[in-house]
Amino acid sequence: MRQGFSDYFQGAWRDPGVLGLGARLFLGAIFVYACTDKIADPQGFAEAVYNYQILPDSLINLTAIFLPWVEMVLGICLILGILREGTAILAVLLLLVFFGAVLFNLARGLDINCGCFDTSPGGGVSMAWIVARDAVFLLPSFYLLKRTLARDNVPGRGEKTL
Amino acid sequence: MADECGRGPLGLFPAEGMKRMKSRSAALSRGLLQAGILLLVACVAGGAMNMVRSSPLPWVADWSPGTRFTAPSGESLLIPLQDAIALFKEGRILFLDARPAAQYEEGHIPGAWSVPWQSFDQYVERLMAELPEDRTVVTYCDGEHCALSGDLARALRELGYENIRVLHNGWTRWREAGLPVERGDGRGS
Repeated sequence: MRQGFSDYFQGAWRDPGVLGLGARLFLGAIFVYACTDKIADPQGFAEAVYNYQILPDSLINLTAIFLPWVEMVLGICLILGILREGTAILAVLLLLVFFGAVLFNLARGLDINCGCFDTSPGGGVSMAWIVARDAVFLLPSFYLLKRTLARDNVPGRGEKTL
Repeated sequence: MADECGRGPLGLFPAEGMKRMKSRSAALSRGLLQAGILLLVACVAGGAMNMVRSSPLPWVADWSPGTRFTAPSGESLLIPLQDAIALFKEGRILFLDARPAAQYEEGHIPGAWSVPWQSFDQYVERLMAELPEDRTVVTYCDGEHCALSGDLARALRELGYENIRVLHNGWTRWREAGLPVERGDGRGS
């Protein structure tokens, strides 16, 4: 029973390998780093969410209150290597949402920093940079997801799995 | 060589493939449950943190212009377009264009100074020295959702200028009202 409990929280991915460990620590550090500012200044983050102009007004503050903590908990779990399947799924989902939101606003020519429609080249460059950065973050998250889900994670065969 | 289901070349050992598929769906469902636990923990932490803050964020806020553009005292910063036009005609108004300089050069309200919010730091000293005391200072940018004008107005208020207002969606409304505009780098270059 004790073994089962630890399996549950640890996930079957017992030996992460250097790439897996690197991906986990990298993503974990980024999530923790990204959320500290938002937690320190919820009003400012709410305004940033507002500037994305995607969510209805009623969801803006709720997002500003809860989302940074999702990042915080996710980042800590990634670094500690607990709830591995859950963190892999959530990391991919969260990054896809961020990526989609920025891409969506890039496509409709909205400069998020400004919160207004801006088609000037200067505005476009920084948005393209954000898209590229988010795409880079997605790679390790997909790698983690693949490692945790697409592998042979039969309990009791842990020593053969990654 | 095993195919997708883990069968051998002669269709043998199907059990191995079944086992793998089962383990995958088990890992997925466990993952979803773990993700749920994570979200729950985050929600409890976020909610609790918000409640113990000295100034908690309201769960739901009003994001309409009237409440978005308010001074810390709660007083609205917005100036109605008609009031701005009246002051403009009397020469008792100074507009600050909070948009990026390139947009200012394409066109702006006559006499407006260019004070791009993104590079506000570079303008602070000059504003402190030159902002007139006898005119109402009105910031504007462009678009229903544009926050630059409000940010600029609040920053100037914090520096001690009381007579500052915001013309919401100013550039668009100014042009729609058929009022005169000016091109080039003007006064604020």
